[in-house]
Amino acid sequence: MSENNIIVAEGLSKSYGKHLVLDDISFTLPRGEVIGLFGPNGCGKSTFMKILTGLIHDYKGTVTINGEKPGAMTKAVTAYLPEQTFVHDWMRNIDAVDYFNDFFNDFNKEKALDMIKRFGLDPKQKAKTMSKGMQEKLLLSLTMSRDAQLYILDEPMGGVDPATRGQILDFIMKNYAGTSTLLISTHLINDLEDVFTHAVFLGNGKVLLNDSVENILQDGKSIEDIFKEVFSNVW
Amino acid sequence: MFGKLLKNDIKAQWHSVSTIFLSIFIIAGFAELLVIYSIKDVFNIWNDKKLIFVAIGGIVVCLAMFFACIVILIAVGLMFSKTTFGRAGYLTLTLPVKTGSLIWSKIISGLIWTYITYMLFFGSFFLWIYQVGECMGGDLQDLADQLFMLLLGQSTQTMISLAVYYLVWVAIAMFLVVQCMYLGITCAHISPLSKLGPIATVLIFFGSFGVIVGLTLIVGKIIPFGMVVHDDVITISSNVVKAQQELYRHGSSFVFSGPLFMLLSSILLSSPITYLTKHKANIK
Repeated sequence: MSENNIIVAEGLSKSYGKHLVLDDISFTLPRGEVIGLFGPNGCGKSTFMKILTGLIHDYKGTVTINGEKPGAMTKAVTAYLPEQTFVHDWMRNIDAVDYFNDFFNDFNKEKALDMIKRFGLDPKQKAKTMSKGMQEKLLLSLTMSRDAQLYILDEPMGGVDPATRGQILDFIMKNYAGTSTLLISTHLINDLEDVFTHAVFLGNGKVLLNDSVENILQDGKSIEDIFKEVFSNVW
Repeated sequence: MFGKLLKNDIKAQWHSVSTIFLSIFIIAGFAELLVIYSIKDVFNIWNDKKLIFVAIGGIVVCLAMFFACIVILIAVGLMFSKTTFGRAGYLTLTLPVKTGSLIWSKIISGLIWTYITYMLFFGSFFLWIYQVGECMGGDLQDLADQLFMLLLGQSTQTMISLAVYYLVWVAIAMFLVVQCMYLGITCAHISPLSKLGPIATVLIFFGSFGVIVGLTLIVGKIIPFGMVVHDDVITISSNVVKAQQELYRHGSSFVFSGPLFMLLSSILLSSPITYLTKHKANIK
């Protein structure tokens, strides 16, 4: 394993019933980059992220973060923002902050409270009374308040309006620890195109492209153009 | 870290059980007031019918607490499912802690609420017995002595030993219920059982509970280690059946090996729950 790679997958396969989502894929992802994970719905982006975070176990092959299989060690250095809201309904924003503060040594409570305030959220408001957008802002504040080595963000802007997207993107880029790796899955390639330094295309269970954005854009095309080219041949 | 897990699990479960507790306490509270007012005959309206009101009030209190025991068990199971395999599992299972600690924290916090309700149920039952005795005006000790001797041919001392024995056994059985429930819920999140959904939980729960209870009875018969109580004398024996037949025909025997086996099985069930959660279960 090279020191430059934070994630290494070897012979990784995962299926749901007869539907093969990841088909014996092997690849590495470089450390310290902002990595875009692209692909159509159902191509295995979220599945791959769940495997990395230790939420899915019945897969074949191996995957490591910093050379370790997903477990307590990797969870301590990985900040994960799932597509779904994960705070308990009864939790107030301040309770969620305290919860993170209890378990993650790299969590910065003051930073989280400051972010919550900047997003216009009331620290004493309960999760169940908040809209989806507000909950996403809370989760983003919690995730980005960690000084993690690897941030895994699954559709971080999926449920927010276009006006807020820019604010959130700005927020992510300003708040992730500079030396860390950021792995973002998204359909909104246009909105995020400028921030990625590395791109991975998943489709038909395979890795169709895994390269630096610099190499990909050499012939003057945008990531979205390449995406359309690759997936028009696949689907 | 385990202390923090336990604190947060107890807190989360409190939010789930508090409404149940509140509703049950309101019902039980009103029923208990009926009992107290009847005994003291505060309004001087019940006179000779007060025993009926004491009986009704007491039964309502006991039933409310019994109902609470069942509802709390279900609430504990639902909470385990929600916080481990529901959307809150995204938070729980991505914490940098060992899966074994996560599971034991949920077992202990679940048992805390289960036992609190269980103690309240038995507390309310004994309070009711006491209040009936008080209402009848006689000496409760005499009343109990006569009742136990007449109905069961046992002294009050023996009956107290019997009560403690069964209280402990029920507590162990509740531990087993919680563990079998957790095992069932965990199995329902493992392929291919996940296709069956909640039916898998029910099947695994009753299957594992039935097997362990069956084995407990067999172990109790094969290893009849326990105690015999006769004339308020306790005798520990490796074969309580023989001891009772040979020495104390009218004594009561209590087998320890069965409950101990059940306790051990309940503790050991945490291993498959942890293993399956760590290696097999998926979060949707």
